[in-house]
Amino acid sequence: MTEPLIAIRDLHYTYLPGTPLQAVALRGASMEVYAGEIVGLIGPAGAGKSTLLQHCNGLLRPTEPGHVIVDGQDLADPTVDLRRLRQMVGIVFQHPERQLFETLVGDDIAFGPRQLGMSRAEIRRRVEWAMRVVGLDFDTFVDRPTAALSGGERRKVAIAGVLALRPRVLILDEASAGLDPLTREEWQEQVRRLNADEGMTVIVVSSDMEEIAALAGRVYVMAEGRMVDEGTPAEVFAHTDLLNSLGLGQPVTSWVLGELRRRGYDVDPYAIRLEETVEELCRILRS
Amino acid sequence: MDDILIRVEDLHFAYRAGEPDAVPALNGISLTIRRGEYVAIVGHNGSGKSTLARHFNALLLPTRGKVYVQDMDTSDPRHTLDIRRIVGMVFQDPDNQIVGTLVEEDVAFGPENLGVPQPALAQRVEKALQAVGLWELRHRPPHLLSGGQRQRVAIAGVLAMEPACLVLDEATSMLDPASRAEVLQVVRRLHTAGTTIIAITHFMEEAALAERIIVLAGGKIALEGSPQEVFSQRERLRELRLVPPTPAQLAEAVQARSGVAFSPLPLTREALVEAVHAHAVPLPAGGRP
Ligand SMILES: Nc1ncnc2c1ncn2[C@@H]1O[C@H](COP(=O)(O)OP(=O)(O)OP(=O)(O)O)[C@@H](O)[C@H]1O
Ligand SMILES: Nc1ncnc2c1ncn2[C@@H]1O[C@H](COP(=O)(O)OP(=O)(O)OP(=O)(O)O)[C@@H](O)[C@H]1O
Ligand SMILES: [Mg+2]
Ligand SMILES: [Mg+2]
Repeated sequence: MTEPLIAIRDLHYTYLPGTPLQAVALRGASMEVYAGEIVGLIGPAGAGKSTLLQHCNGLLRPTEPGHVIVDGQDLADPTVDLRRLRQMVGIVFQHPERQLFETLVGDDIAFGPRQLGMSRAEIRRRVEWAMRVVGLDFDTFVDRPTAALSGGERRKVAIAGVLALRPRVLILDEASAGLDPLTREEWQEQVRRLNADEGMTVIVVSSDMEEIAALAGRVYVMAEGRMVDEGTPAEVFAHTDLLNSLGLGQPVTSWVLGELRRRGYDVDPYAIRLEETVEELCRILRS
Repeated sequence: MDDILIRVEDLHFAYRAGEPDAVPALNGISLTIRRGEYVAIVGHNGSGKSTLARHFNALLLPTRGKVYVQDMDTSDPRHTLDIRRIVGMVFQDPDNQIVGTLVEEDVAFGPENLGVPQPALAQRVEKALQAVGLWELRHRPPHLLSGGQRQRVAIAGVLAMEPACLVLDEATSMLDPASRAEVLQVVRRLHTAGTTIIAITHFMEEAALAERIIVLAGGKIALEGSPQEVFSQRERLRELRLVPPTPAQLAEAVQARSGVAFSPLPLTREALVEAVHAHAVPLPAGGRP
């Protein structure tokens, strides 16, 4: 058996413990991510998704029972090399505004590689590459102040800044929120490519169930600080009652097939991709 | 015409206009928004949606051209306060909008500034917080909430101002599906009660709820019409970096494969189920076919 690249075991976390504002965010969350996977993580607002993921690169450290093990290292160990860890695990945060450090777009994307002491030529190569991957035109944007961008452009800069580190694990916390529809499609294609061609392991949090269905090979469902379901997208999205009780709903494909099934039509509720769904729908139509 | 709430005439806008690094964002936009209308504005990243929205309540002023709200020229500073009372805006980034130290103070901030007295103020705050499902969290500091919770605080803050026109700039982008449905439900209720709605969104299923869709590209209006009209132009949409809502994509693929023709094209998941049901092989009585 290979070891998971990231293993989170029975993790607890409380914000501002012992104060009137104390908020219990994790109550025994466990998750395993193997090298080369694309794992989806879904859950209602406040479920603890962002809190969990911030443990994966040491931004939050385990303070209560529970373990976070990344590439064989237990992050509770105070001697963990955080620099190395953050080079390995890159997180695109939910709010890109909190991720932009530098005044100019080019400098911002170069920030990580510079910290790692790379050569100017290598830094430039990485910035160009990262901007290309997210679809930001180099000449238009490289010298643009980060304050002078549209919402979607700011998001792209934040993603590019993380990509430029070429992390082994890419964590996307609502990273595609605010991208226009075609850019979102292209970005999903890029994620698949980074995963397939460069072996990047990906964890994706999204409130867009179609994005999860399109990207993830395996999905965790989180609620109130712990995992409540796990499986392939087809399996997880067929658990209608659980999803509805959590207010998560389903991708359009599963929803439509489920609804037709409830009306008595013999369609496969596990079909989830667009082509499969079209096939299922055509089967019950008069020709 | 007094049923027109917002009138935009040949609007041009550039950030840092006149400087060597000026960025032209709007390049000649003319449109009208009728009182009580529900309009969606969509378009590629950087197409000018947020810039246009900021002209609706005088946060930005035209470099050239005019914007009128209820016949008040937004460039005339004497009208600014009145205009902001009429047009309430939920921004793309909630963090720029959150001002209070507690959720309930934050939501009270807007109506308080409008001079709403107690106890009406407290009632408005409660109603707004209930509407977005945050009443339980009213004593928490907003900056200590999750992303989706903060986005709902921002929405409640504007709801409490009870504006005649509500502008939502990607206000639901980070909400889980149930919270998004709740917010859309609130929006629909306000619209039914007469509020003018202008919704900027990248979710085409959400845009399909509007009566009219305006598509921006490169700071100009590229396409405009009912959701049916706009979403049936698949090729044109792709050039504009948009894709029809998933139910419409499924419906088109089914039409192409099966020869069945859906009319009108279903744009929502509910409509797709009905359309398929109407064309399906009838079920034998009492069981699955
Ligand atoms: N900095 C903080 N201080 C105190 N409490 C916090 C903080 N950040 C989050 N919380 C609380 O911890 C819980 C989990 O929050 P978290 O941000 O992990 O949720 P999430 O699943 O990412 O939600 P969303 O989908 O809305 O982003 C919530 O109850 C939230 O209010
Ligand atoms: N503060 C600013 N200074 C300079 N240029 C800006 C500024 N804000 C936006 N821009 C530019 O103006 C244009 C329009 O931006 P706007 O924010 O209106 O786009 P948008 O349609 O809302 O995009 P998105 O979908 O990404 O939110 C873009 O080219 C953008 O780069
Ligand atoms: Mg979060
Ligand atoms: Mg915008």
